[in-house]
Amino acid sequence: MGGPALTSFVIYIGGVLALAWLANRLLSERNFLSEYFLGGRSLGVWAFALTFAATSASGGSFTGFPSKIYSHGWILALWIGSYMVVPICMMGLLGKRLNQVARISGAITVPDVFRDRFNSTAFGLLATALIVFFMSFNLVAQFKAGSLILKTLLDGVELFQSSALRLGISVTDWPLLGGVDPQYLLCLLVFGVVVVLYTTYGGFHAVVWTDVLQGVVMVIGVVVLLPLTLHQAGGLQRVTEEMAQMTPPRSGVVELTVAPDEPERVVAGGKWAWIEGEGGQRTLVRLAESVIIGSQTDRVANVRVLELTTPSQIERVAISDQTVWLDSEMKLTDLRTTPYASGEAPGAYVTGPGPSQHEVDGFLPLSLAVSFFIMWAIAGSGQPSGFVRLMAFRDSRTLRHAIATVTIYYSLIYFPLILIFCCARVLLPGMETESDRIMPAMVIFVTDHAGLAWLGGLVVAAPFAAVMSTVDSFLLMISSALVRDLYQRTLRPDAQERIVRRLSFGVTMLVGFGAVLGAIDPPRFLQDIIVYTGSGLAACFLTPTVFALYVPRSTTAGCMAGMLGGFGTHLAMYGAGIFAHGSFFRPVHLFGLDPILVGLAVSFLITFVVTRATPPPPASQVERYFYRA
Amino acid sequence: MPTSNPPRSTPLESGLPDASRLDPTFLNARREAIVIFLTWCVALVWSVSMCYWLGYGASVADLKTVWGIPSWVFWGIVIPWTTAVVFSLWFSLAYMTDDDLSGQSAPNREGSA
Repeated sequence: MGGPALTSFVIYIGGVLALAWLANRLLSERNFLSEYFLGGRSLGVWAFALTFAATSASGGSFTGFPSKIYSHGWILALWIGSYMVVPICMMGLLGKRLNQVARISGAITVPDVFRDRFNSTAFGLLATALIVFFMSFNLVAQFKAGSLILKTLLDGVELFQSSALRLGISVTDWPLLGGVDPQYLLCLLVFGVVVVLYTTYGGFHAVVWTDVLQGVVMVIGVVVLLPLTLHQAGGLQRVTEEMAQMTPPRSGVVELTVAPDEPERVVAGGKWAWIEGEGGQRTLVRLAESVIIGSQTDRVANVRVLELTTPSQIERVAISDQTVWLDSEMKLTDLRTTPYASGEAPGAYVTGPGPSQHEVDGFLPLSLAVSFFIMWAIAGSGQPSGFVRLMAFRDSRTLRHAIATVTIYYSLIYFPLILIFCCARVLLPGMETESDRIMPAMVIFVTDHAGLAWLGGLVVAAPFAAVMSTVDSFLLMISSALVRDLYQRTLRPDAQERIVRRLSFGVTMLVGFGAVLGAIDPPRFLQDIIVYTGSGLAACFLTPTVFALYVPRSTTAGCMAGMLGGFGTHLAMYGAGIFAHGSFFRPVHLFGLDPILVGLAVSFLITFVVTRATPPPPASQVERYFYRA
Repeated sequence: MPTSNPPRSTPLESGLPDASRLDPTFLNARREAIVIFLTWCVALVWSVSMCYWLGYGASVADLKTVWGIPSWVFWGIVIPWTTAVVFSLWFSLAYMTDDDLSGQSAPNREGSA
């Protein structure tokens, strides 16, 4: 990415900070807590629709999802299929009632809703604890995701590389920072400081307004990319026909040897090379990792590679003037590869269940197809970050128009992404080695070829905007749980607004920079943590919320038991993965179903049974929330 | 002799007003939630069964496309997605009711403990 694109990107960041400054002006004039954490329940159609859409569409929509389309083909249309009803489900199932109940009780946060609806401090604290637990992990993972995306965006920018080098030299002897990749560290600092500052300074209004900007950037990114991609790939018909002939690549290991007189050097991953086999047969491979080689004692290294198996892809790489080849003085020998567990024959990328490297049943067997249809639409409705937005819209007319807006918005994003990244399989072969980078790689490839490099900066900001809009929302949720639910409503009910105000700023900043510190040495399983925390929150919160809003007979004991039951069951499925598959992040799939579905089912069952088994709630409580005054 | 015991809450079954006094916002929201849930069920059955029937294990030699899209994706995803968009627009703009969300039946305690 060159200078013009970097300029576009800097302008975008400037816009985000300007919006935060404007939001802070608004804070001083109104009720602080309600304004800072909930925007005064005054969100109009565009603000509500775009903040809802942008927060729900996390970095996964622009990194993990494109990577999956690229890796598994057309089957991702079914994987994401329930997004056709996600807006109506996520906003319509609970929106109107949640907003009303929050207004009746005066609730500002999600734990507030449970505490007041059931008149139970214990329930409020349980909800607070679960939100802080799940979202803290998620926040660290999202900070890492944002930093990695930023690093990809700035790759090749001279100013960035020299700054990272200077930073790396200056922190070499620091205990925590010494061994960290300086480019990642610089990105983490920039990303962290920007997000923490604008969220702390502007509160909910800043988060919402920046979400609106980020939501617009996301949709523009996709809408611009679609026609350029289709044109350069030669049309969708040609893409699908070529995909029908594709066979999956093979991963493997190769021996890399350098001549004895070669100096020590880093061999960068991503380079291509031919390997000569017996009888003159040649195999095209791509290095899947960087390796240091050439020291006095070490002239040979084992390197992970990817072998292309589709003739049309091999030809495209061979004739492209952009292919970076391995230096000719280096030799690759002794290639050992492993085939995909399923989908080895042509046609796997255009039919179900899609090719899979590890799963013999394919990428999306029928049971998982049903699981994902339930997960996106129904479990997605149980996310506390969505609840906060549903508590913040102005009136039911706003809700109705926002559902219509998000329906159009998601249709403009998710299905076009499938088309774009099916085309990517044709345009950019061999990206399986770094498929998480496929979005920025495609943006740069397509805009460069169209002679619109300046557009790259704006379009490539889309995934960055998606992560940013999720991080700021989660940050404010943790901060509100601690300040409002723990401090103001439990420890110091008589705290002065001046103190609450200072505490809100202080805690938001502390939580934010705490997450930045955690992300310096983040856990390895980035996407797995995001999936675990997102599905865990739904398993805990969806059923108790539905009962609280729609079942007058629901009891404190029933809903608390359901919340704990969902948490415990979901955790047990992941915990059992340690014994069954050797990893917490490879959970057990009971009856082939995702842990979220088992968690939801158990949570529903427990809530129902305990509610029936416990005495009914006081009539005054039911009358307050279910009857006219 | 007068006592100063705090008022005891009335058990649910005996202490509630007539059902005709149920909050219309609650009733409308519940009805709309049921319709949405049924819509999701229809979308699930349509998409998953159509994609499975036409697209799973299909031979690449028999692959048909519509506008460059594999036919199982077209009939299993594109068509129901378009239908869902039309339905969602009708549902949100014409079917859903505008209700009073003000919560005036209870004192507003925003910003307080």
